[in-house]
Amino acid sequence: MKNLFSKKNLTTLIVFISILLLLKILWLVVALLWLPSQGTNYSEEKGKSALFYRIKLSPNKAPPPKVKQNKQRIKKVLGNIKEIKLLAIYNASDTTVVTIEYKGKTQVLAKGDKVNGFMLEGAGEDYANFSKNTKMFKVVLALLRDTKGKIRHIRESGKAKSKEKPKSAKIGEIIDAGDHKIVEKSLLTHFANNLDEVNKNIGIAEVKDKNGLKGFRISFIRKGSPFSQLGVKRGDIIKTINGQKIDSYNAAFAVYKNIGNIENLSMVIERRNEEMELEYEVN
Amino acid sequence: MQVVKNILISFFALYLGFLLFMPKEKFYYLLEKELLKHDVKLNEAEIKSSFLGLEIRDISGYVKGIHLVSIDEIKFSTTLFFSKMEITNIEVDASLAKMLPQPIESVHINHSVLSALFVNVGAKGIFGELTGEINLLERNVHVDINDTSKVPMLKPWLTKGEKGWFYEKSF
Repeated sequence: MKNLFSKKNLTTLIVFISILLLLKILWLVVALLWLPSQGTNYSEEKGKSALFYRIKLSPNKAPPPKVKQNKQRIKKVLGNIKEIKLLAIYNASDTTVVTIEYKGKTQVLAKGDKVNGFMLEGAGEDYANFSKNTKMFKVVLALLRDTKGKIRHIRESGKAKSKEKPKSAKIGEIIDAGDHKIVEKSLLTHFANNLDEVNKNIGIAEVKDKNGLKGFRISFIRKGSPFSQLGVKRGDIIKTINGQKIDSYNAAFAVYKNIGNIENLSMVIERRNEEMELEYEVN
Repeated sequence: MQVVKNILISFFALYLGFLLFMPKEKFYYLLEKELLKHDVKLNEAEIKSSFLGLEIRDISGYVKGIHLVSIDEIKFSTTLFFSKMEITNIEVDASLAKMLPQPIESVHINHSVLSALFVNVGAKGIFGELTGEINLLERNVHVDINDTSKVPMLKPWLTKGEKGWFYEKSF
């Protein structure tokens, strides 16, 4: 015991503790002078609500009006109705609008409008009903994108010309219905699951001001891609999507993550200092 | 003999003090600050400092404000002669599932003074096990991937060699 507390051992202990103390002070100085005192915790934007919500009161999923059809009668007058090619359908509870091609010209018909003596009576999800002389005619919509990017018909008046669809058709279409565009849901789902496909087809660049990120500008759109049919142009600044202000990466990504589940799509863009609203129907 | 003993005790005290009093949490904050410069933010539920290292639990990683990655645990440990970082259970956001393989069970990065110019890396996940090293002198990374069948999304970045597929990049 006496040996343990000898002068030599106590000196060694004091040296040992002094070195530890010195290092403690040294680290303290380093921490105070050069190291941050706290971390950079990020508070995630949660529950950020859209500026407004679109409520679809009359979804297109509503069953189409039932029309009694006489297949034999349709067959007899097929030559007449064959001239009408159905390009697009917009169907709501109070409005039915279809886009047709008749003698090479594109026309937009509302319920009750006539073309070549055929009156538009109504439309379902993928067909329109016309009447002429108390007879009903069903024209089936079937648009298909061919490999050159042009739209062509594969079915007319309920008859299929081709049963096999090319692979490109699987990702979906954007159909011009005159006053608005119809975006097929499968297209949105495809892009929602393939971020790299989005990057290949459209370029988005930051728009910054003094306060930081202000929005996103479209830097390029690949020619012939579905994005080129949306009506947006290079240089457009995306302000809102479905009422959600797009002023941060988080907001943009939140919209992207939900894009496969939306029923309607609307976009406010800024083009040459003017704001424009683009509306799409998701079908 | 007494002098040698004193020198050894002093070195031991220096070594002990250096590791014991190292402000490990603050070094982690410094790492967070550096990552912030690249728009990468880390949120963690718990930081636990120990004698030889640091344990960080339930980490959420944000890139440009987007929550992209969740990590169960990151462990740093060092004895000054050997340093190790182990990352467990990395979950990448589902939107990146087609760009990055997941789940990633673990990633480890080791450095030893015995081969001071090399940093060993390894990972376990859906792709099996991968091993590689970072050459600090030549400033390049080389990673060998044994099984590429489950990670077709990585193939554009991989090169086929004699032993199999590998990833190589200079920095």
